[in-house]
Amino acid sequence: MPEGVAADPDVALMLRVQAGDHDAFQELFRKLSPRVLQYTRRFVGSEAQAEEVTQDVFVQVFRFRHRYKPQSRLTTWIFTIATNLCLNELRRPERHLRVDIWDRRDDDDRREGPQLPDPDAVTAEEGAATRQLARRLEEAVGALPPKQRAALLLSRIDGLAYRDVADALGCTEGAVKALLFRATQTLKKSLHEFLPKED
Amino acid sequence: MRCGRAQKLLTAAVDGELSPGRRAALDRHLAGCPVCRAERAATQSVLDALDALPMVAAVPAALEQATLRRVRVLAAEEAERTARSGWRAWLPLPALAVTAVLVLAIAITRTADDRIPTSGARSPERIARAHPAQSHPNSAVAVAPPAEPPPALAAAPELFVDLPMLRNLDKVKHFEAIRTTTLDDETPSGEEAPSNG
Amino acid sequence: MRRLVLLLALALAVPAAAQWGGRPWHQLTPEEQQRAWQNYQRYQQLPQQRQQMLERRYRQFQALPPQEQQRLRQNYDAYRGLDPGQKRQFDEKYHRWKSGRPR
Repeated sequence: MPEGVAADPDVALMLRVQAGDHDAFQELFRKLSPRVLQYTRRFVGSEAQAEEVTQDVFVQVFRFRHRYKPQSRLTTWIFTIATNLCLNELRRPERHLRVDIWDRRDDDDRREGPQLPDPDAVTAEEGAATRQLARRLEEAVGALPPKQRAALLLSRIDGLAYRDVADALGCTEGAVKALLFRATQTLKKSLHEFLPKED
Repeated sequence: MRCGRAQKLLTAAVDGELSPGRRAALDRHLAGCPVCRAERAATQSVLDALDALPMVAAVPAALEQATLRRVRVLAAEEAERTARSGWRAWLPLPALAVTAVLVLAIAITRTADDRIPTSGARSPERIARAHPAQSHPNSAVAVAPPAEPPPALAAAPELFVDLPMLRNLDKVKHFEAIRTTTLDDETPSGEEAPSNG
Repeated sequence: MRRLVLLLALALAVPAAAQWGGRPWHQLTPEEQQRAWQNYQRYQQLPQQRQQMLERRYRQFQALPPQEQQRLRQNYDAYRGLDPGQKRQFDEKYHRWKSGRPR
Protein backbone atom coordinates (compact mmCIF):
# COMPACT_ATOMS: atom_id res chain seq x y z
CA MET A 1 0.00 0.00 0.00
CA PRO A 2 1.44 3.41 -0.96
CA GLU A 3 2.75 5.52 1.86
CA GLY A 4 0.07 7.74 3.35
CA VAL A 5 -2.85 5.69 2.02
CA ALA A 6 -2.95 3.49 5.13
CA ALA A 7 -3.16 6.59 7.31
CA ASP A 8 -5.91 8.12 5.18
CA PRO A 9 -9.03 8.33 7.40
CA ASP A 10 -11.26 8.00 4.32
CA VAL A 11 -9.64 4.66 3.52
CA ALA A 12 -10.18 3.49 7.09
CA LEU A 13 -13.82 4.47 6.79
CA MET A 14 -14.17 2.57 3.52
CA LEU A 15 -12.59 -0.53 5.02
CA ARG A 16 -15.25 -0.40 7.73
CA VAL A 17 -17.92 -0.16 5.03
CA GLN A 18 -16.43 -3.23 3.34
CA ALA A 19 -16.60 -5.04 6.67
CA GLY A 20 -20.36 -4.43 6.82
CA ASP A 21 -20.50 -1.36 9.07
CA HIS A 22 -23.58 0.57 7.94
CA ASP A 23 -22.89 3.50 10.27
CA ALA A 24 -19.57 3.89 8.50
CA PHE A 25 -21.38 4.21 5.18
CA GLN A 26 -23.57 7.00 6.53
CA GLU A 27 -20.47 8.70 7.89
CA LEU A 28 -18.80 8.37 4.49
CA PHE A 29 -21.84 9.83 2.76
CA ARG A 30 -22.00 12.82 5.10
CA LYS A 31 -18.30 13.44 4.72
CA LEU A 32 -18.01 13.25 0.95
CA SER A 33 -21.45 13.99 -0.50
CA PRO A 34 -21.10 17.81 -0.26
CA ARG A 35 -18.05 17.69 -2.54
CA VAL A 36 -19.57 15.11 -4.85
CA LEU A 37 -22.82 17.07 -5.16
CA GLN A 38 -20.98 20.30 -5.99
CA TYR A 39 -18.98 18.41 -8.60
CA THR A 40 -21.98 16.76 -10.24
CA ARG A 41 -23.90 20.02 -10.15
CA ARG A 42 -21.18 21.83 -12.09
CA PHE A 43 -20.79 18.88 -14.42
CA VAL A 44 -24.37 18.15 -15.45
CA GLY A 45 -25.74 21.65 -14.92
CA SER A 46 -29.14 20.59 -13.64
CA GLU A 47 -29.91 20.65 -9.94
CA ALA A 48 -32.32 17.72 -10.04
CA GLN A 49 -30.06 15.55 -12.16
CA ALA A 50 -27.03 16.41 -10.04
CA GLU A 51 -28.88 15.10 -6.97
CA GLU A 52 -29.91 11.93 -8.83
CA VAL A 53 -26.37 11.33 -10.04
CA THR A 54 -24.99 11.94 -6.55
CA GLN A 55 -27.38 9.37 -5.18
CA ASP A 56 -26.31 6.93 -7.90
CA VAL A 57 -22.64 7.57 -7.04
CA PHE A 58 -23.07 6.50 -3.45
CA VAL A 59 -25.29 3.56 -4.33
CA GLN A 60 -22.52 2.37 -6.65
CA VAL A 61 -19.93 3.00 -3.94
CA PHE A 62 -21.90 0.60 -1.76
CA ARG A 63 -22.69 -1.91 -4.50
CA PHE A 64 -19.09 -2.13 -5.63
CA ARG A 65 -17.53 -1.60 -2.22
CA HIS A 66 -15.63 -4.88 -2.42
CA ARG A 67 -13.88 -3.71 -5.57
CA TYR A 68 -12.22 -0.75 -3.90
CA LYS A 69 -8.59 -1.51 -3.21
CA PRO A 70 -6.86 0.53 -0.48
CA GLN A 71 -3.79 0.96 -2.71
CA SER A 72 -5.50 3.95 -4.34
CA ARG A 73 -6.98 7.08 -2.83
CA LEU A 74 -10.63 6.82 -1.97
CA THR A 75 -11.43 10.25 -3.42
CA THR A 76 -9.91 9.22 -6.76
CA TRP A 77 -12.10 6.10 -6.80
CA ILE A 78 -15.27 7.93 -5.84
CA PHE A 79 -14.69 10.79 -8.29
CA THR A 80 -13.99 8.24 -11.02
CA ILE A 81 -17.44 6.80 -10.39
CA ALA A 82 -18.94 10.30 -10.30
CA THR A 83 -17.22 11.32 -13.55
CA ASN A 84 -18.41 8.25 -15.42
CA LEU A 85 -21.96 8.67 -14.19
CA CYS A 86 -21.91 12.35 -15.16
CA LEU A 87 -20.57 11.58 -18.63
CA ASN A 88 -23.23 8.88 -19.07
CA GLU A 89 -25.88 11.31 -17.86
CA LEU A 90 -24.87 13.89 -20.44
CA ARG A 91 -25.06 11.28 -23.18
CA ARG A 92 -28.55 10.01 -22.39
CA PRO A 93 -30.68 10.66 -25.48
CA GLU A 94 -33.82 11.40 -23.47
CA ARG A 95 -32.02 13.97 -21.34
CA HIS A 96 -33.81 17.27 -21.39
CA LEU A 97 -32.08 20.42 -22.48
CA ARG A 98 -29.65 21.49 -19.84
CA VAL A 99 -31.40 23.59 -17.27
CA ASP A 100 -28.98 26.26 -16.29
CA ILE A 101 -28.54 26.28 -12.54
CA TRP A 102 -28.24 30.04 -12.76
CA ASP A 103 -31.68 30.46 -14.36
CA ARG A 104 -33.49 30.21 -11.04
CA ARG A 105 -35.02 33.17 -9.35
CA ASP A 106 -33.08 34.94 -6.67
CA ASP A 107 -35.80 34.34 -4.12
CA ASP A 108 -35.69 30.57 -4.57
CA ASP A 109 -35.21 28.92 -1.15
CA ARG A 110 -33.10 26.08 -2.47
CA ARG A 111 -29.86 27.81 -3.17
CA GLU A 112 -27.16 26.19 -5.26
CA GLY A 113 -24.85 26.11 -2.32
CA PRO A 114 -22.97 28.46 -0.02
CA GLN A 115 -22.74 31.92 -1.43
CA LEU A 116 -19.30 32.88 -2.68
CA PRO A 117 -17.50 34.23 0.39
CA ASP A 118 -16.27 37.71 -0.15
CA PRO A 119 -14.44 38.74 3.04
CA ASP A 120 -12.25 41.22 1.18
CA ALA A 121 -14.99 43.21 -0.53
CA VAL A 122 -14.77 46.82 0.52
CA THR A 123 -17.86 48.08 -1.26
CA ALA A 124 -21.14 46.60 -2.39
CA GLU A 125 -20.00 47.15 -5.99
CA GLU A 126 -16.87 45.09 -5.45
CA GLY A 127 -18.93 42.29 -3.90
CA ALA A 128 -21.27 42.38 -6.87
CA ALA A 129 -18.32 42.22 -9.29
CA THR A 130 -16.95 39.15 -7.52
CA ARG A 131 -20.32 37.44 -7.70
CA GLN A 132 -20.58 38.34 -11.37
CA LEU A 133 -17.16 36.80 -12.03
CA ALA A 134 -18.17 33.66 -10.18
CA ARG A 135 -21.37 33.38 -12.17
CA ARG A 136 -19.60 33.94 -15.49
CA LEU A 137 -16.98 31.40 -14.51
CA GLU A 138 -19.60 28.77 -13.61
CA GLU A 139 -21.34 29.38 -16.94
CA ALA A 140 -18.06 29.15 -18.84
CA VAL A 141 -17.13 25.89 -17.11
CA GLY A 142 -20.57 24.52 -17.88
CA ALA A 143 -20.10 25.33 -21.56
CA LEU A 144 -16.82 23.39 -21.89
CA PRO A 145 -16.85 20.06 -23.74
CA PRO A 146 -17.50 17.26 -21.23
CA LYS A 147 -13.98 15.83 -21.03
CA GLN A 148 -12.38 19.25 -20.62
CA ARG A 149 -14.97 20.09 -17.97
CA ALA A 150 -14.25 16.83 -16.16
CA ALA A 151 -10.48 17.39 -16.23
CA LEU A 152 -10.81 20.95 -15.01
CA LEU A 153 -13.25 20.18 -12.18
CA LEU A 154 -11.26 17.15 -11.03
CA SER A 155 -8.01 19.11 -11.04
CA ARG A 156 -9.51 21.60 -8.55
CA ILE A 157 -10.46 18.93 -6.06
CA ASP A 158 -8.18 18.97 -3.02
CA GLY A 159 -5.74 16.15 -2.96
CA LEU A 160 -6.09 15.11 -6.60
CA ALA A 161 -2.89 15.39 -8.61
CA TYR A 162 -2.85 15.24 -12.41
CA ARG A 163 -2.01 11.52 -12.27
CA ASP A 164 -5.18 10.97 -10.19
CA VAL A 165 -7.18 12.98 -12.73
CA ALA A 166 -5.68 10.79 -15.46
CA ASP A 167 -6.72 7.67 -13.57
CA ALA A 168 -10.24 8.98 -13.11
CA LEU A 169 -10.57 9.80 -16.80
CA GLY A 170 -8.83 6.70 -18.05
CA CYS A 171 -6.22 8.64 -20.00
CA THR A 172 -2.57 9.68 -19.72
CA GLU A 173 -1.19 12.59 -17.73
CA GLY A 174 -0.17 14.18 -21.00
CA ALA A 175 -3.76 14.00 -22.18
CA VAL A 176 -4.91 15.66 -18.93
CA LYS A 177 -2.45 18.51 -19.46
CA ALA A 178 -3.74 18.97 -23.01
CA LEU A 179 -7.37 19.00 -21.80
CA LEU A 180 -6.53 21.54 -19.09
CA PHE A 181 -4.62 23.74 -21.52
CA ARG A 182 -7.60 23.88 -23.88
CA ALA A 183 -10.02 24.45 -21.01
CA THR A 184 -8.05 27.33 -19.49
CA GLN A 185 -7.56 28.93 -22.91
CA THR A 186 -11.35 28.92 -23.36
CA LEU A 187 -11.95 30.30 -19.87
CA LYS A 188 -9.40 33.06 -20.40
CA LYS A 189 -11.29 34.19 -23.49
CA SER A 190 -14.66 34.04 -21.68
CA LEU A 191 -13.39 36.01 -18.71
CA HIS A 192 -10.92 38.41 -20.31
CA GLU A 193 -12.79 41.49 -19.12
CA PHE A 194 -12.50 40.28 -15.52
CA LEU A 195 -8.82 39.43 -15.66
CA PRO A 196 -6.29 41.97 -14.34
CA LYS A 197 -4.46 43.77 -17.10
CA GLU A 198 -0.71 43.76 -16.93
CA ASP A 199 0.82 47.24 -16.91
CA MET B 1 11.51 26.97 -25.86
CA ARG B 2 8.99 28.57 -28.21
CA CYS B 3 5.93 30.51 -27.08
CA GLY B 4 3.45 27.87 -28.31
CA ARG B 5 5.16 25.17 -26.26
CA ALA B 6 5.58 27.46 -23.24
CA GLN B 7 1.92 28.42 -23.16
CA LYS B 8 0.86 24.77 -23.22
CA LEU B 9 2.79 24.28 -19.98
CA LEU B 10 1.34 27.23 -18.10
CA THR B 11 -1.60 25.47 -16.44
CA ALA B 12 0.63 22.66 -15.21
CA ALA B 13 3.20 25.21 -14.05
CA VAL B 14 0.64 27.14 -11.98
CA ASP B 15 -0.57 23.84 -10.48
CA GLY B 16 2.98 22.76 -9.65
CA GLU B 17 2.78 19.74 -11.90
CA LEU B 18 5.88 20.33 -14.01
CA SER B 19 9.09 18.38 -13.58
CA PRO B 20 12.01 20.49 -12.27
CA GLY B 21 13.77 20.41 -15.65
CA ARG B 22 10.73 21.53 -17.58
CA ARG B 23 9.97 24.17 -14.95
CA ALA B 24 13.43 25.61 -15.30
CA ALA B 25 13.14 25.72 -19.10
CA LEU B 26 9.79 27.48 -18.86
CA ASP B 27 11.13 30.00 -16.34
CA ARG B 28 14.01 30.82 -18.68
CA HIS B 29 11.54 31.46 -21.49
CA LEU B 30 9.26 33.59 -19.32
CA ALA B 31 12.18 35.73 -18.19
CA GLY B 32 12.57 36.95 -21.75
CA CYS B 33 8.97 36.89 -23.06
CA PRO B 34 6.43 39.50 -21.87
CA VAL B 35 3.62 37.93 -23.92
CA CYS B 36 3.98 34.56 -22.18
CA ARG B 37 4.37 36.30 -18.83
CA ALA B 38 1.01 37.97 -19.42
CA GLU B 39 -0.49 34.61 -20.37
CA ARG B 40 0.88 33.08 -17.21
CA ALA B 41 -0.69 35.84 -15.14
CA ALA B 42 -4.02 35.30 -16.89
CA THR B 43 -3.80 31.55 -16.30
CA GLN B 44 -3.03 32.17 -12.63
CA SER B 45 -6.04 34.50 -12.35
CA VAL B 46 -8.41 32.00 -13.92
CA LEU B 47 -7.23 29.14 -11.72
CA ASP B 48 -7.35 31.36 -8.62
CA ALA B 49 -10.91 32.34 -9.49
CA LEU B 50 -11.84 28.67 -9.93
CA ASP B 51 -10.25 27.75 -6.61
CA ALA B 52 -12.20 30.55 -4.93
CA LEU B 53 -15.50 29.00 -5.97
CA PRO B 54 -17.24 26.96 -3.29
CA MET B 55 -16.14 23.33 -3.51
CA VAL B 56 -18.94 21.99 -1.36
CA ALA B 57 -22.70 22.13 -1.64
CA ALA B 58 -25.39 21.86 0.99
CA VAL B 59 -26.81 18.35 0.71
CA PRO B 60 -30.59 18.27 1.15
CA ALA B 61 -31.77 15.94 3.89
CA ALA B 62 -34.08 14.26 1.38
CA LEU B 63 -31.10 13.28 -0.76
CA GLU B 64 -29.36 11.66 2.20
CA GLN B 65 -32.50 9.82 3.23
CA ALA B 66 -33.21 8.57 -0.29
CA THR B 67 -29.63 7.35 -0.71
CA LEU B 68 -29.50 5.55 2.62
CA ARG B 69 -32.90 3.98 1.89
CA ARG B 70 -31.67 2.58 -1.43
CA VAL B 71 -28.53 1.26 0.21
CA ARG B 72 -30.54 -0.39 2.98
CA VAL B 73 -32.66 -2.15 0.36
CA LEU B 74 -29.51 -3.32 -1.44
CA ALA B 75 -28.02 -4.58 1.80
CA ALA B 76 -31.22 -6.43 2.67
CA GLU B 77 -31.29 -8.07 -0.78
CA GLU B 78 -27.68 -9.19 -0.35
CA ALA B 79 -28.43 -10.59 3.10
CA GLU B 80 -31.42 -12.49 1.75
CA ARG B 81 -29.37 -14.00 -1.06
CA THR B 82 -26.69 -15.02 1.42
CA ALA B 83 -29.26 -16.75 3.60
CA ARG B 84 -30.82 -18.55 0.60
CA SER B 85 -27.58 -19.72 -0.95
CA GLY B 86 -26.33 -21.13 2.32
CA TRP B 87 -22.79 -20.17 1.41
CA ARG B 88 -20.73 -19.16 4.44
CA ALA B 89 -17.69 -16.95 4.00
CA TRP B 90 -15.95 -18.62 6.89
CA LEU B 91 -12.82 -19.77 5.09
CA PRO B 92 -9.79 -18.04 6.56
CA LEU B 93 -7.27 -16.34 4.34
CA PRO B 94 -5.35 -17.39 2.40
CA ALA B 95 -8.03 -19.71 1.18
CA LEU B 96 -7.85 -19.79 -2.60
CA ALA B 97 -5.15 -22.42 -2.79
CA VAL B 98 -6.75 -24.52 -0.07
CA THR B 99 -10.15 -24.30 -1.79
CA ALA B 100 -8.70 -25.21 -5.17
CA VAL B 101 -6.74 -28.05 -3.57
CA LEU B 102 -9.77 -29.57 -1.91
CA VAL B 103 -11.95 -29.19 -4.99
CA LEU B 104 -9.33 -30.64 -7.29
CA ALA B 105 -8.51 -33.46 -4.91
CA ILE B 106 -12.14 -34.42 -4.56
CA ALA B 107 -12.60 -34.19 -8.32
CA ILE B 108 -9.70 -36.54 -8.97
CA THR B 109 -10.80 -39.10 -6.42
CA ARG B 110 -14.47 -39.19 -7.40
CA THR B 111 -15.86 -41.83 -9.70
CA ALA B 112 -16.27 -41.02 -13.41
CA ASP B 113 -20.05 -40.67 -13.33
CA ASP B 114 -20.30 -37.84 -10.84
CA ARG B 115 -16.95 -36.15 -11.55
CA ILE B 116 -17.07 -32.36 -11.67
CA PRO B 117 -16.83 -31.40 -15.36
CA THR B 118 -13.45 -30.17 -16.45
CA SER B 119 -13.15 -27.00 -18.46
CA GLY B 120 -13.97 -27.74 -22.09
CA ALA B 121 -17.11 -29.70 -21.22
CA ARG B 122 -19.88 -28.68 -23.55
CA SER B 123 -23.03 -30.43 -22.58
CA PRO B 124 -25.46 -28.70 -20.24
CA GLU B 125 -26.78 -32.18 -19.44
CA ARG B 126 -23.38 -33.20 -18.08
CA ILE B 127 -23.24 -30.04 -16.02
CA ALA B 128 -26.71 -30.70 -14.64
CA ARG B 129 -25.80 -34.30 -13.72
CA ALA B 130 -22.68 -33.14 -11.88
CA HIS B 131 -24.51 -30.41 -10.04
CA PRO B 132 -28.01 -31.55 -9.33
CA ALA B 133 -30.33 -28.76 -8.26
CA GLN B 134 -30.70 -28.51 -4.53
CA SER B 135 -34.06 -29.55 -3.20
CA HIS B 136 -35.64 -26.23 -2.44
CA PRO B 137 -39.05 -24.92 -3.44
CA ASN B 138 -37.66 -21.62 -4.62
CA SER B 139 -36.70 -21.96 -8.26
CA ALA B 140 -34.00 -19.26 -7.89
CA VAL B 141 -32.09 -21.55 -5.53
CA ALA B 142 -32.11 -24.27 -8.18
CA VAL B 143 -29.47 -22.24 -10.05
CA ALA B 144 -27.52 -21.30 -6.95
CA PRO B 145 -23.79 -21.98 -7.15
CA PRO B 146 -22.56 -25.31 -5.84
CA ALA B 147 -20.98 -25.45 -2.40
CA GLU B 148 -17.68 -26.33 -4.05
CA PRO B 149 -17.11 -24.47 -7.28
CA PRO B 150 -15.43 -26.39 -10.10
CA PRO B 151 -11.66 -25.83 -10.40
CA ALA B 152 -11.87 -23.52 -13.43
CA LEU B 153 -14.40 -21.35 -11.62
CA ALA B 154 -12.48 -21.39 -8.33
CA ALA B 155 -9.23 -20.48 -10.08
CA ALA B 156 -10.56 -17.28 -11.65
CA PRO B 157 -13.94 -16.32 -10.21
CA GLU B 158 -13.79 -12.72 -11.40
CA LEU B 159 -13.33 -13.87 -14.98
CA PHE B 160 -16.83 -15.29 -14.75
CA VAL B 161 -18.30 -12.39 -12.78
CA ASP B 162 -17.16 -10.07 -15.56
CA LEU B 163 -17.67 -12.46 -18.46
CA PRO B 164 -20.42 -10.48 -20.21
CA MET B 165 -18.33 -7.34 -19.97
CA LEU B 166 -15.31 -9.16 -21.39
CA ARG B 167 -17.41 -10.37 -24.30
CA ASN B 168 -18.23 -6.74 -25.05
CA LEU B 169 -14.83 -5.33 -24.13
CA ASP B 170 -14.32 -3.51 -27.41
CA LYS B 171 -17.65 -1.72 -27.02
CA VAL B 172 -17.07 -0.68 -23.41
CA LYS B 173 -13.51 0.47 -24.06
CA HIS B 174 -14.64 2.82 -26.81
CA PHE B 175 -18.10 3.53 -25.44
CA GLU B 176 -17.85 7.28 -25.77
CA ALA B 177 -16.51 7.20 -29.30
CA ILE B 178 -19.21 4.79 -30.40
CA ARG B 179 -22.01 6.76 -28.78
CA THR B 180 -20.96 9.90 -30.64
CA THR B 181 -20.72 8.14 -34.00
CA THR B 182 -23.45 9.40 -36.33
CA LEU B 183 -25.56 7.06 -38.42
CA ASP B 184 -26.82 8.04 -41.88
CA ASP B 185 -30.32 8.80 -40.64
CA GLU B 186 -29.10 10.91 -37.73
CA THR B 187 -28.22 14.59 -37.64
CA PRO B 188 -24.86 15.33 -36.07
CA SER B 189 -25.27 16.07 -32.39
CA GLY B 190 -22.63 18.76 -32.32
CA GLU B 191 -20.90 16.99 -29.45
CA GLU B 192 -17.18 17.16 -29.07
CA ALA B 193 -15.39 14.69 -31.36
CA PRO B 194 -14.16 11.70 -29.40
CA SER B 195 -10.68 12.29 -28.25
CA ASN B 196 -8.41 11.11 -25.54
CA GLY B 197 -7.01 14.61 -25.26
CA MET C 1 -3.31 -42.51 -2.19
CA ARG C 2 -5.59 -39.61 -1.24
CA ARG C 3 -2.71 -37.95 0.57
CA LEU C 4 -0.58 -38.13 -2.58
CA VAL C 5 -3.40 -36.67 -4.64
CA LEU C 6 -3.85 -33.82 -2.19
CA LEU C 7 -0.14 -32.98 -2.28
CA LEU C 8 -0.13 -33.11 -6.06
CA ALA C 9 -3.19 -30.87 -6.23
CA LEU C 10 -1.55 -28.39 -3.87
CA ALA C 11 1.50 -28.20 -6.08
CA LEU C 12 -0.69 -27.51 -9.11
CA ALA C 13 -3.29 -25.24 -7.55
CA VAL C 14 -1.09 -22.54 -6.04
CA PRO C 15 0.65 -21.49 -9.25
CA ALA C 16 -2.66 -21.61 -11.12
CA ALA C 17 -4.34 -19.36 -8.59
CA ALA C 18 -1.42 -16.95 -8.53
CA GLN C 19 -1.46 -16.78 -12.32
CA TRP C 20 -5.02 -15.54 -12.56
CA GLY C 21 -5.07 -12.93 -9.79
CA GLY C 22 -8.36 -11.32 -8.72
CA ARG C 23 -10.40 -12.10 -5.64
CA PRO C 24 -10.84 -15.68 -4.47
CA TRP C 25 -14.27 -17.31 -4.57
CA HIS C 26 -15.13 -16.79 -0.93
CA GLN C 27 -14.53 -13.05 -1.21
CA LEU C 28 -17.22 -12.62 -3.84
CA THR C 29 -20.59 -11.43 -2.68
CA PRO C 30 -23.44 -13.97 -2.96
CA GLU C 31 -24.78 -12.00 -5.91
CA GLU C 32 -21.40 -12.18 -7.63
CA GLN C 33 -21.08 -15.88 -6.92
CA GLN C 34 -24.45 -16.52 -8.51
CA ARG C 35 -23.56 -14.43 -11.53
CA ALA C 36 -20.19 -16.16 -11.86
CA TRP C 37 -21.80 -19.57 -11.66
CA GLN C 38 -24.38 -18.76 -14.35
CA ASN C 39 -21.72 -17.26 -16.61
CA TYR C 40 -19.48 -20.26 -16.03
CA GLN C 41 -22.19 -22.53 -17.35
CA ARG C 42 -22.54 -20.36 -20.46
CA TYR C 43 -18.76 -20.32 -20.85
CA GLN C 44 -18.70 -24.12 -20.79
CA GLN C 45 -20.80 -24.15 -23.94
CA LEU C 46 -18.45 -21.92 -25.92
CA PRO C 47 -15.91 -23.24 -28.42
CA GLN C 48 -12.43 -23.61 -26.98
CA GLN C 49 -11.06 -20.80 -29.17
CA ARG C 50 -13.63 -18.41 -27.78
CA GLN C 51 -12.91 -19.52 -24.22
CA GLN C 52 -9.22 -18.81 -24.77
CA MET C 53 -10.00 -15.39 -26.23
CA LEU C 54 -12.03 -14.50 -23.12
CA GLU C 55 -9.27 -15.73 -20.83
CA ARG C 56 -6.79 -13.57 -22.75
CA ARG C 57 -9.05 -10.53 -22.40
CA TYR C 58 -9.40 -11.21 -18.69
CA ARG C 59 -5.62 -11.23 -18.24
CA GLN C 60 -5.38 -7.92 -20.11
CA PHE C 61 -8.20 -6.49 -18.03
CA GLN C 62 -6.53 -7.53 -14.77
CA ALA C 63 -3.39 -5.69 -15.85
CA LEU C 64 -5.25 -2.38 -16.17
CA PRO C 65 -5.16 0.22 -13.37
CA PRO C 66 -8.08 -0.09 -10.94
CA GLN C 67 -9.67 3.17 -12.10
CA GLU C 68 -9.63 2.02 -15.71
CA GLN C 69 -11.22 -1.28 -14.68
CA GLN C 70 -13.91 0.69 -12.87
CA ARG C 71 -14.48 2.91 -15.89
CA LEU C 72 -14.97 -0.09 -18.14
CA ARG C 73 -17.35 -1.77 -15.70
CA GLN C 74 -19.41 1.39 -15.51
CA ASN C 75 -19.51 1.71 -19.28
CA TYR C 76 -20.77 -1.86 -19.40
CA ASP C 77 -23.46 -1.01 -16.84
CA ALA C 78 -24.51 1.90 -19.04
CA TYR C 79 -24.58 -0.40 -22.07
CA ARG C 80 -26.67 -2.94 -20.19
CA GLY C 81 -29.07 -0.18 -19.15
CA LEU C 82 -29.94 0.70 -22.73
CA ASP C 83 -33.42 -0.34 -23.82
CA PRO C 84 -33.62 -2.71 -26.82
CA GLY C 85 -34.04 0.14 -29.31
CA GLN C 86 -31.11 2.06 -27.91
CA LYS C 87 -28.98 -1.08 -27.82
CA ARG C 88 -29.78 -1.81 -31.43
CA GLN C 89 -28.80 1.72 -32.37
CA PHE C 90 -25.64 1.50 -30.31
CA ASP C 91 -24.66 -1.76 -31.98
CA GLU C 92 -25.23 -0.20 -35.40
CA LYS C 93 -23.01 2.68 -34.38
CA TYR C 94 -20.44 0.22 -33.16
CA HIS C 95 -20.25 -1.46 -36.53
CA ARG C 96 -20.09 1.91 -38.25
CA TRP C 97 -17.35 3.08 -35.90
CA LYS C 98 -15.43 -0.14 -36.31
CA SER C 99 -15.48 -0.02 -40.06
CA GLY C 100 -14.12 3.52 -39.91
CA ARG C 101 -16.59 4.78 -42.49
CA PRO C 102 -16.89 8.58 -42.61
CA ARG C 103 -19.97 10.17 -41.02
